[in-house]
Amino acid sequence: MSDLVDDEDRRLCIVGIGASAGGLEAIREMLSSANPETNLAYVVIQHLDPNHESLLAELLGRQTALTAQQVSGGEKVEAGKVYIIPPGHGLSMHEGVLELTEFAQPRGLRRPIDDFFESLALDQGRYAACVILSGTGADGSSGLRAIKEHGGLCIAQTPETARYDGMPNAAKATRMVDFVRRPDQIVDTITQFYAHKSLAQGDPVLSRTVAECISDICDQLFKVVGHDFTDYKPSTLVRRIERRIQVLDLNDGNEYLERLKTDREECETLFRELLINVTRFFRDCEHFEVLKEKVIEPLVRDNDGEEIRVWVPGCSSGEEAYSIAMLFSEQVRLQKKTISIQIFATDIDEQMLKIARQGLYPISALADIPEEMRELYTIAREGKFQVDSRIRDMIRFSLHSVVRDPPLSNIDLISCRNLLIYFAEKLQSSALPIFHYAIRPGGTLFLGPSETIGRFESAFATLDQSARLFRRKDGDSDYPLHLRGKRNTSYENRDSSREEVASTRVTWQRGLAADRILQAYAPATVHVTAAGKILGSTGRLSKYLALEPGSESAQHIQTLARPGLREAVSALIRRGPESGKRVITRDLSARSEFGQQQLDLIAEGLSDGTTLLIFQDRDKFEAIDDADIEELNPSDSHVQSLEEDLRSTRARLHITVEELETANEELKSSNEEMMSMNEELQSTNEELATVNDELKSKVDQLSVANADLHNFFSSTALPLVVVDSNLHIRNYTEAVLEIYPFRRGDRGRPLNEVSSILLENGEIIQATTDVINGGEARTLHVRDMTGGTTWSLLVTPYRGSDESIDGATLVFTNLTQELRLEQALAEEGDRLRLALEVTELGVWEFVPSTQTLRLDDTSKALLGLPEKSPGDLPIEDAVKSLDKEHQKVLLDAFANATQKDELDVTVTLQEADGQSRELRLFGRADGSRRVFRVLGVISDVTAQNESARIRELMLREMNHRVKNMFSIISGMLRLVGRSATTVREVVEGVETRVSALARSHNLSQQQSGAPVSLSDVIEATLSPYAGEDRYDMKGPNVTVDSGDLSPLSLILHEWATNAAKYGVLGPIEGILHVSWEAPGNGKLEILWNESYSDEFEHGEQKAGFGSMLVQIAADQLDGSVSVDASPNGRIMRLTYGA
Amino acid sequence: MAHDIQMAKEDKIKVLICEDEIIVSMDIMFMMEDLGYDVVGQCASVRDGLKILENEQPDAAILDVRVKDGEVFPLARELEKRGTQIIFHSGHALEDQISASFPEAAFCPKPTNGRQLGNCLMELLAKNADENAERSH
Repeated sequence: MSDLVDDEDRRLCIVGIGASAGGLEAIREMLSSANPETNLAYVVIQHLDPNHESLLAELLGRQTALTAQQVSGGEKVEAGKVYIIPPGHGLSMHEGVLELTEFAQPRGLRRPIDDFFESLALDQGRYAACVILSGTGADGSSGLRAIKEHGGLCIAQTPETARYDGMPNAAKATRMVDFVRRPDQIVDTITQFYAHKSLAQGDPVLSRTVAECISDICDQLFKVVGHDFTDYKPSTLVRRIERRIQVLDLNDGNEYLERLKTDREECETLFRELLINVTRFFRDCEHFEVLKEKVIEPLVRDNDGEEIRVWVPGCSSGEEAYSIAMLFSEQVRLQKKTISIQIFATDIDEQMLKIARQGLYPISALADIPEEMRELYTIAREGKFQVDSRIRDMIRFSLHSVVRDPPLSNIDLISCRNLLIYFAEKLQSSALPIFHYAIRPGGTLFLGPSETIGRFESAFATLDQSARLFRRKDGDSDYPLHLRGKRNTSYENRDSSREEVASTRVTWQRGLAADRILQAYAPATVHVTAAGKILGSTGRLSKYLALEPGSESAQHIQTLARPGLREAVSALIRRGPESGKRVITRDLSARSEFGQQQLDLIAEGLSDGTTLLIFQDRDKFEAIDDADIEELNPSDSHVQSLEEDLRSTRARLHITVEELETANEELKSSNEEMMSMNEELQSTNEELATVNDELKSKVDQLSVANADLHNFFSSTALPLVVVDSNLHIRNYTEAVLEIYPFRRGDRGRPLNEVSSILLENGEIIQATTDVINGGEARTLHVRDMTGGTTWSLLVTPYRGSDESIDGATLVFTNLTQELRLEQALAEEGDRLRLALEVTELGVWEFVPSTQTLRLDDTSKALLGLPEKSPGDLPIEDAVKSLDKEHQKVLLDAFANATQKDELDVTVTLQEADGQSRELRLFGRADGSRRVFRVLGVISDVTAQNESARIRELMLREMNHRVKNMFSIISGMLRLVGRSATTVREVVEGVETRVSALARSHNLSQQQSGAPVSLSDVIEATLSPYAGEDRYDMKGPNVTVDSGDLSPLSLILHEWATNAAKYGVLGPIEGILHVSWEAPGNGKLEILWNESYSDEFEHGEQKAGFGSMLVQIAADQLDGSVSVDASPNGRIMRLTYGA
Repeated sequence: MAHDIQMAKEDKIKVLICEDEIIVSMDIMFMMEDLGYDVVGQCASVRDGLKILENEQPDAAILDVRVKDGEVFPLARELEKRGTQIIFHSGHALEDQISASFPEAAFCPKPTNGRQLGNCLMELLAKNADENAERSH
């Protein structure tokens, strides 16, 4: 249940807004407060000049939170949007969809607001609302009636707030407007109305209470206004009563009943609301066409002088009655007959009858009248038109209830359209017998399209089913007595309340008796216009007036009056007594061919400006014999001839006046058209004024933007050229002059005609053309003629406001500096890379905030990570190749790096093949970037550390050897000192032995690490003592161990010095043979054979220091020495080796 | 002074020299003989040293650390076992390392002269003699 209510609450309600001149302002004011979140949609119908594009949607869109759009046809109306009529089209609505319509009428007669409201009412029923805003004329007034009839809401702008109050006033005048509000209040009013809970279709409380109260409400209404709605269709009654409850924002039927009892005004309002129906001229015009053919034409044709009587019950505001009157009048004119036609139009609403009697209608309604009749039967009046008096005179409007008051009789045609639909069955079946009674046999009944004769087929025969024309069948009918006097009692109640309304009940209403009295017994009376034209008469007039058939002036009483009366009549009419006043002329004598009548003539002015002339006889009619024929007085005849002149003059004047009036009317209708065009132009003008204001502010903004741009162009250091699609220069910055030496007149010249300092002019033109054609931005590098400067040229498409390419923008960026930097950077990078490669350094970057380590390839390889592992690694993953201990060392180092700003750590990586590698990581914290990080290098220091260790070892060894050397020298000194007797001997002994040791050391160092050959050792030992001719050497190639070198050298040295002092290398002639052999088992035998040339006897030689040295040295070599001396020579033999 | 004391050959203190440099070895030998010690053996290698020990029982030994067939320590161990007083005579700065292995031994860095080496030997002998005396008490 509540869901249903909710759904109903959200039901889209469509608000039609009608506006014309001054409307833009009002619409803006009204919609500026509208909330898009409601269930309301708005459709704006503005009178627009069809020749101008409308900016209304754009203008409104800026003023309101709603989405405003101009309708192009086929839009499904959605809540929260504003739909705006396009120029040159009407709008209609069908099932919630807006459709464009073509105007059938010429400009000036169009009424788009009415048209839309009517289709909106039909389509949306009680979910339609209409708002009528500022504008001249009365468009919308009949449309709001349709809205109202279908249960919708009608609001008009307060006329005082409207710039043009014509339309709001016309709407108000219909007395059907629910609310009159200022524009800014309208939306709230609508919202409140549709928020009322009774809108929910199924509100059971409201429906029930209204249904309960309905008979009480009818009673109350009957008491106050005197009309009984009891037998009207309850559905219509309930719907319209509910609507009033909604408008008044009451809760249920009981409350409303209370209101009715205390508020007379509300009774009147409800009464009028209940009677609302839509009527217009020639409504359902095709039915009227049938009526004309089948009924009116025959009636006129077959007429033989009798009066044709027509009854239009429920005439409302009179359009239907006037339509029928026009049809009759037209037929009479076409068939050139003179027939008296009386149309009785009745209704129960005096307000409506007032409107009807005036015959004044909005100019918009003119469109309903067939064109040929418009000219003939209507007169334009100040934005409205009035039905011609000839037509109006055919119709008597009077207050009369079909079902309550006595019916008319002897009627030729009853037109009762769209009245029975409001009646319930009971009331319908009592109305039809009344019609049957009223219509003469053979007469016609004309009903509305949805009405039928029901079960009264015995009384009426169908004449045309679709047009609802029925012929009364012959047969008597009873006077519907049952109606008379029924519930007639409290009638005065209402009359008294309506005293101010001057009722013009016409005498015939009194019935036949009254007619008879008037005809036979009352004084003869003539009803004339202010000009003297006869409108009607009662009684016998032949004594006072003479009939002159066919005369143009026959309708004027001045002409018709009998001699003796004319002057008085003319005088009285000229005086034109005021309304309600009576003027009397006494003692007149009307002379006719048959006699003379003394009388008084009374003239009484009526409220509508006409005059009643009453002929009151004072004496008996004096008949005169033929013999008694009086001579006409010359004076009489003179007066007569003067009057004749006067009459003809008047006739001419009349014709002239009529011609003038016709011309005037034409002018007026032209004026109307001009007015409505003017109004459209006014709307357009308002739009344009608003647009102009906006444009002014836009121009201001543009000037500022332009100034900005100008300043930009002149001050920016950016070289920039703008060209149009033909490559003609459109604009450029000052800075570009160093590239293109433009002069003042170069704007508009083709770019390729202007010289530049650039080398690649052709490429630039080509690229620019490509950009203009292709739309893709391009970048190229260009150089100047000298090649010293390079620019980057960016060519971008220049897009117009519609996004189409309308040229190109060339922006130069001087790249010389950047290129140099780039080159320097590249070189620097290369050097760095080379350095890293040569030193096998890896680079890493540690980000403490994320605990990630970024590694290059070298770093990865050094850390034993796969080559494909990502560059950024969580620190734990980066060190996983290390063993636990070193992992910890490294992680601690990284953790400390952030505090110490420095990192220097060496770890050992155990590789799979068992080898280990020492890695040193060295880094420094870098806070210069946004992210704090530690940057550093990693290197393999295994070899470096190894060599350091070796160096250390060597140093120690060297130290040892030096100390050894000192020991040797000091020992040598002491040893030599033991045996020497002179200093010279000491020096010589030490010097030669040190030299020998030095030589053997030299030998051992000559070829680093390579074994020394025995021959070299011998040669080195002998060289200071002998030339090559003094000795020879022979033996296999044998090497000497470095450990044996020193003792061997000493032994050889001792032998050599001995030979130099005492042997073949010295004083004795001979030769030295040195030979050696390696007999195996690692043994070596050296034979030192000094062969003397002459025999020589050695003296006894004591075993000195030298021989002891040889002995110890031989011991050290694990060898033995033997000496064999003979006179022929001396042979020393050394054998050593394992 | 100790080296002035003249003793019979049998009473003389027996010294072993292990030194791979001939000149130095001879020098030490002469110094020891001058000081009245009996040099019972001169060797340039551990192998030769051990060979000498087959026949001799030296009281003291002057050992170079590095000898022909490597470091002298196997010979030193053998000598230590026999109660021989050891003086390491070396150019290597290994005093700490050696005194850790041979706490009883003395160390005399190269180069040296006869007085230094003699004092060193006498102090060593005297110290151990005291210790022996204390032990006999």
